[in-house]
Amino acid sequence: MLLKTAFKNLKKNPVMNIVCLLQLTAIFLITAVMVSSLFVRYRKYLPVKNFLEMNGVFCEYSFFSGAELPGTATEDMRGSVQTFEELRDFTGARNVFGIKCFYASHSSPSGELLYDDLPSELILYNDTFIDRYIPKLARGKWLDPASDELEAVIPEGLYGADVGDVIDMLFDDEHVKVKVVGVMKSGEDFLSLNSPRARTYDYPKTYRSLYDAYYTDIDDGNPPMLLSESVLQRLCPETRTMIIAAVFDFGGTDIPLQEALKRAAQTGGYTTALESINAASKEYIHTELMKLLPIVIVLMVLTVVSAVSVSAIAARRRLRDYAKYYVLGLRWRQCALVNLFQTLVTGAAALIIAAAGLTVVGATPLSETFMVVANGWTFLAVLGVFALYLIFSMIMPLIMLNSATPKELLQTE
Amino acid sequence: MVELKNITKTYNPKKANEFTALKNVSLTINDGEMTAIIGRSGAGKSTLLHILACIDNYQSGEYRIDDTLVKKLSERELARIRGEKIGMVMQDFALVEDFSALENVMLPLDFARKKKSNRRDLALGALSSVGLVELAKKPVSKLSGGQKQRVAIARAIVNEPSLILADEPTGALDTKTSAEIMDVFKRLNDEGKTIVIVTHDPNVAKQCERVVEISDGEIV
Repeated sequence: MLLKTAFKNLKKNPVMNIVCLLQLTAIFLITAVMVSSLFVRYRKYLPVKNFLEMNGVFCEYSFFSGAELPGTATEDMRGSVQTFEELRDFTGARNVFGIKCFYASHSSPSGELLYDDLPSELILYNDTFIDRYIPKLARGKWLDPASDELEAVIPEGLYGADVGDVIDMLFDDEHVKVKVVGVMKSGEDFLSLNSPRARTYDYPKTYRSLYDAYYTDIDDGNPPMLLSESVLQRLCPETRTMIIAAVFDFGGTDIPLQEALKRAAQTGGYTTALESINAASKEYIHTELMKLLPIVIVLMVLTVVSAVSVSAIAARRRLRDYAKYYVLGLRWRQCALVNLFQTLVTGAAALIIAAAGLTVVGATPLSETFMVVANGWTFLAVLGVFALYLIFSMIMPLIMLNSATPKELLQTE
Repeated sequence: MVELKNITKTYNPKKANEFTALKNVSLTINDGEMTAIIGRSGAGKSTLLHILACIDNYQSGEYRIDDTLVKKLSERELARIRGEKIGMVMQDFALVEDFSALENVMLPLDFARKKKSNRRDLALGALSSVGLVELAKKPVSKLSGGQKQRVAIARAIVNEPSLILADEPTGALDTKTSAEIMDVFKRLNDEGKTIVIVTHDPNVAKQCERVVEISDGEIV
């Protein structure tokens, strides 16, 4: 009966109800954008958080590096240490995982080099990385280390291929067929653990150094193809790939950090303790969040005030009707419930519109412009504001009804 | 039967603007009576009516409806009395403007504790008794003053209350329409309804079998 009365009331004054609906939708969207702007600062840290919290060392390799620490071996070990297993055995780490790279050229099906196409940089992920890290894909699926085929995730339009296509490549002189299983989302950063871009401005080193930009403008350089290192080793054992970055996990060993750094450096790379990267990462995120916090607080206050005022104004408008219902046999609490049901319907409609809008924006390039991340936290924050709106919709009429008698309400214009 | 004994109503008690609207008012209204309560503006007529309608409280005294002491009733029981035992007709009609005549008349039936399955038929019957069944689906905002008041009367009687209270029911109407509305009340009274009409119009009071005059919060 109360719900029926609420629906009947909603049919009244549709223009005003639509204005309330739009106002609520705007409140929900602002909340979503606010939470998204906070989450964006965190988004790239989360996939590498597990690595950075390990007791270990991060090691980057370039073509020309030798051992870095004074008093250590000067011999470049990369000639003899080819696999992550060998790195592990050499350093005594519990586990080593990382990224390799290689360069390959596009060929015809018969194995003829196609000179018009740029060679690709193959980024080869270790199995541990593949399990822990899934980048944003525009289409298709992520790599499967158990695959019998050499799978690749490619930038949009590389060599004219799409998901399901097979690209003929020359790995040195070996003709290899690579199956496209996924296409990277344009402009999305990917985990390379060795970003030359990051070295120029990211000091002390943070999680940002671990990412590289995935440019879809494939004329800009060697467009990266992402592959599984273990599958390549299995299918093309003669291919000599280069380790470009490795994470040494010394957890569970009794090797102290300084010794761990020394051992990792002996493999020929630039070393940094994971704990210092993690500390710097957290400091960076904290600084970014602190810059954003005053704005978020102000917007949150405005959002809450807006939600409450929408609720109060709507209740105030309906007070005279509630006085009539009171005369006709409803109790004040029932009138407040009618108000609650009306606001529930309006709020739910606004929530659905906001959710649909967020989902659409999240799936389009607009999400970068508006910094919208449509994830659980965003929806939780929006639901929180919705709950607040409902609570005030329940309380407001009771407060107003307590301060006026039905007689006074009926006598007001 | 409705009985008021030494009812005192004070607004803003213990404040600087304290005002006693009713002072020791006692009144008995028997079943089937049509009573007019007259007095000048501010005499306490509407206050008395609102107490009778259980939409206003009082500081002291006793108010009984059919031997039930109203002050001891719970909020739920008071709501039931308002919805089922009393029908209220207001000067400004107090209709829900964007609802149709039928929807307005159905409201007390929707709010009643025991729902009747033939609520629509009952509402149409009430509208028919006031001669407005053909306007059932029209929004009340599009009705004339007289038609609105008839809808308000239909709403007041649809639950077959034992007491009908009308607060200046002809106050906003012209002479001809006022006469039509009073005819409706008289017909309802002939059917056995107890009717109390608050008015400042002596012509309306003349049509009631009993007239109670109130002045400065006291019955004269």
